[in-house]
Amino acid sequence: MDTKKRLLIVDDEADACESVGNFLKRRDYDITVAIGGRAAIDTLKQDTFPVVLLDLKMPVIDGWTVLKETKPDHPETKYLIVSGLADAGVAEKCKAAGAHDLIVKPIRVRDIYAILEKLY
Amino acid sequence: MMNLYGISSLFATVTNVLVAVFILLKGYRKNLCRIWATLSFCVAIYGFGAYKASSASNYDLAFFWWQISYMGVIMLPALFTHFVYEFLEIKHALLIKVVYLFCFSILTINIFNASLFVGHVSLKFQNSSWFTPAWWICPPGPLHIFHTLVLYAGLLIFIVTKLLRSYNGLSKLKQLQTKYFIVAIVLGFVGGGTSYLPCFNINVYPVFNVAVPIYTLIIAYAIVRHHLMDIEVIVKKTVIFAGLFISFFTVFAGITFIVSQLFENLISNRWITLIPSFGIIVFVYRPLENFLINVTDKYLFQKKYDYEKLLKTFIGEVLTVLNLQNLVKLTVTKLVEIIKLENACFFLFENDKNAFRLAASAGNIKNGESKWFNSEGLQKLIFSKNSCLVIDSSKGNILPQTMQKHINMYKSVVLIPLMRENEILGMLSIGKKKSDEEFMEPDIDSLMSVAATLSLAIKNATYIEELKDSHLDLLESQKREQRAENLASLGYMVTNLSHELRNPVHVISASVEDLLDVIDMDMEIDKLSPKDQETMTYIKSKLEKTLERSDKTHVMLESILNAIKVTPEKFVDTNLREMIDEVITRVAPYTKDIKITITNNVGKNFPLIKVDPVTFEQVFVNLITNAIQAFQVAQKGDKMSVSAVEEKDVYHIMLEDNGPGIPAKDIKRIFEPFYTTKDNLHVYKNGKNSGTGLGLMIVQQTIGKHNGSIRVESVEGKGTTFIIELPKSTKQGV
Repeated sequence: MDTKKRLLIVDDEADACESVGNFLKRRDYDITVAIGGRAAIDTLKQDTFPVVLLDLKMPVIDGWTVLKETKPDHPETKYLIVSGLADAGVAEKCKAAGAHDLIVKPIRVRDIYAILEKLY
Repeated sequence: MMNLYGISSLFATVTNVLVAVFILLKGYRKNLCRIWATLSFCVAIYGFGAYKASSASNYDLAFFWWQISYMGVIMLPALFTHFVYEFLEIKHALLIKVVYLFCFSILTINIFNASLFVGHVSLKFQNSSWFTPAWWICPPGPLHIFHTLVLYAGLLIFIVTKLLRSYNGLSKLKQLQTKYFIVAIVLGFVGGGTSYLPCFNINVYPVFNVAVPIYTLIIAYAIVRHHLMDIEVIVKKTVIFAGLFISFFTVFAGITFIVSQLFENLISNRWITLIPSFGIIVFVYRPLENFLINVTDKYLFQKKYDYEKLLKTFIGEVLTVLNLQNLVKLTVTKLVEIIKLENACFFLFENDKNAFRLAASAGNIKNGESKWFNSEGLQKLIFSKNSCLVIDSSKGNILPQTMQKHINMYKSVVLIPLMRENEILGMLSIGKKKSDEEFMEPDIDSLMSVAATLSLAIKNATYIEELKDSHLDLLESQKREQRAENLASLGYMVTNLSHELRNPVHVISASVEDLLDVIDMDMEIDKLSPKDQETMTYIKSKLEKTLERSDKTHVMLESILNAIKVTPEKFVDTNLREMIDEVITRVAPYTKDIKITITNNVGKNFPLIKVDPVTFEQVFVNLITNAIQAFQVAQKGDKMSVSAVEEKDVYHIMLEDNGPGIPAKDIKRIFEPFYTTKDNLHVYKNGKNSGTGLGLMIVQQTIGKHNGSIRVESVEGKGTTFIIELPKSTKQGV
C-alpha cells in the first residue's frame, strides 16, 4: 500500500487547486486535481480516493451535483465540502446527502491540512 | 365781584388767545388758519370784555366793557361764515362780502354810537341767592337785536345747513372735520348764545357759557390735526363733562337754596354751604360718572368702537394667516387693540386632554402660570348654547370652583366658544375694556361674528399645517424610497461583485499561504547570506500581511453574500421555542466575554409555525447578535428575552432587550441596506457576518418573504424591542 495519502481536489480555480495541492504534496500527499465539476465526475468514474476535497460553488456543474452523481459509486470515500459562509444552507443539504463534513471558507490551507490529517 | 359767567368768560379769553397763537404758528400760510385765528381772537375780545363788564363796579365801566366785548362778538358771524366758505372751498361768494360789510358797519356804529348797539346795561341776578350779581346788556339797542336775530341766529342756521348739504360731497377728512364743526357750533354758539337771554330779560343764568372755551379747542384740533381722533370720544367726554357739571351745579345750588331758606339767619356766608355740597359731590362722583357713561353709551354711542373695522381686520388680515401660532397671536393683539381691552387670551382645545390650552395672550396677563383652562363644566355652559358666556361678577353666577379660578387667572369677562360643525376648536377669553364699560349686545354680536371667522381660520390653518406635514412626509418617503431603490441596485451590484471577487481572493490567500509554506519547507535559509536572510524575513512578513488582509477581504465578501442571500427554500412546521434555543446556543460564543442573559419565553405549547428554518433562524441570529454587539459597544444592557403570542390570524414574536436603544434619528434607517453603525472590520468575530449593514435588511427581507413584517420600538438609553408579525398562513406554507 502506498504510504502517500491520496486526495482528489475539486475546484474550478486551477490556481487554488495548485496552491492547496502543492502545500499538501510537501506533506506527503498524493494529489489529483480536477478543475471543475465535469472533470471531477470523469475522474471519479475511473478512480477512487479515500478523501475528496470538493468545492461547492462551481460554474456549470457544482459540488452538490458532483456529490449526488458520484457518492453512490464511492460509499467509502469521505467527501469534504468546501463552501463559502454564504452557501451554508446548501452545504447542509450535502451533509444530508452523505458528505463527511463541511469546510467553511475562508479557511487557511494549514487548517484544511489539520482536518485532513484526522481522516487518514 | 367775581361771578361764574365772568370766570368762564375769562377762561374762554385765555384758551382762545392760546388757540389763535397756536394756529397761527402752525399754519399762518393757510387762509383757513388765519381766519380761525382771527375768529379765536375775536372770541377772546368778547370773553375779556364780558369778564370785565359783568363784574364791573359801576354802570359806566360795565357799559364800556360791554362795548369792547361786542367789538369781538359783532365780527363772529362774518368770520365764521367766511371760515365755512373757505372750508367748503366756495370762492368769492357775494354773501361773504355782504356779511362782512354788515358786520363792519355795525362795528363802526358800535364804536361811535354804542347806544345804538349796546343800548343800556343793568345789574342782573341781584335777587338770586345762587349767583353773584353781574352786569348785563339790558335792554339792548336796536342793532343788537338785529345782530342777534339775523347775523347770529340766522347765519348760524344757514351755515349749519350749508355744511350738512355739502357733507356727502366732501372728502373723508373733511367729513370728519365737519363733524367737529357741528359739535363745536352747537357747543360754542348755543352755549355762548344763552348769555343773550338775560339781555332780553329772560333771566336764566347762562351756565352753558362754560362750553365756549371748549369749542374753540375742538375746532383748533380739527384743523391742525390730520390724523383726527375719534369724534365720538370728544363728544362723549363733552357730554359727560357737561352732565357732571350740571349735576354738581344743581347739587350746589339746591343745597345753597335750602340752607339759605332754612338757616338764613344762622349762616351769614353762604359759601359755607359748599362744604356739604362737596361732601355730597365726593360721595356721588363715581356712581354719577358711571351712570353718565352708561347713559351716553346706551343712547348716543351704541357703536363705541368701529365694529366694521373689527370685522374687516378679522376677515382681511387674520383670516389670511395660515400659520396657527401667528393666527392666535395676531387675533389677541388685534382684539386688544381694536376693542381697547385690558387683556385677551386665545385657547385651543386639546382633544386628548379634554382641556383648553393657552395658545396666546395679550395685555396684562401674567405669563408662566398654568397654560390650561379647565373645560369642566364649561361645555355645558357655553357649547350647548353655542353662544358666549358673559361673566357678571355682580350677579354672582354659580360657576364651578375650578372654572372660577381660571376665570380669575385669565381675567375673563366674556368667554367665546370657537366651534365648527359641532367640533370644539378653542375659546377666546375677553378681558375688561380699558374704559371699564360693560359688554353690550352689539359687542357680543360682533365678537360672535369674529368667532365664526376665527373658527374658519383655525380650521384653515390646521388643514394647511397638516397638508404641509403630509407633503413633507411624502417628500421624505419619496426620498427614502428612491434611496432604498438605489441601495437595492447597489446591493445587487455588490452581490455580483462579491461573487466574482470571492474566488480570486481565495486564490490569492491560498497562493500566498503556499508561498510561505515553500519558504518554510523547501528553502535552506541557514545557508543564505545574512543579507539574503534579512531579505527573506522581509518577504515573509509582507506575505503574512498579504495573507491576513486577503483573509479579511474574504470574510467581508462572505459576509456580504451571506447577508444578501434571502431565499427561503422550504416551508416546514417549525417549533419556535426549539429554534430560539438553537439560536441561543449558536450565539453563545459571542456572549462569552460579557455577562448577558438571553431568556426564551416562548411557551412550550406554542403552535408550530410554518417557516423556512434556515433563513428564519438567521433572522433571530442577526437580531440577537446585533443586540449583543450593541451591548458590547455601548457597555450597556445585560438582558434579552424572546417571547411570542398567538392572535387570530397572526403570531407576534417579540425580542426585547435593555440595551442602549436606537437613537431616533437612526430608527427609520436601520433596515436600509449598508446602514451600519459598526466598524465592519474590527467587530468581526468567529466568521459570522457583522458590520456589513446588511444584517437587518436580511431580517426584513426574510420576514417579508414569509409575508410578515417587522417593526422596532426603541427608547434611547432604555432598550429596544423588535416585533415580528407573522401571518399564520405564510405564502408558500399553505
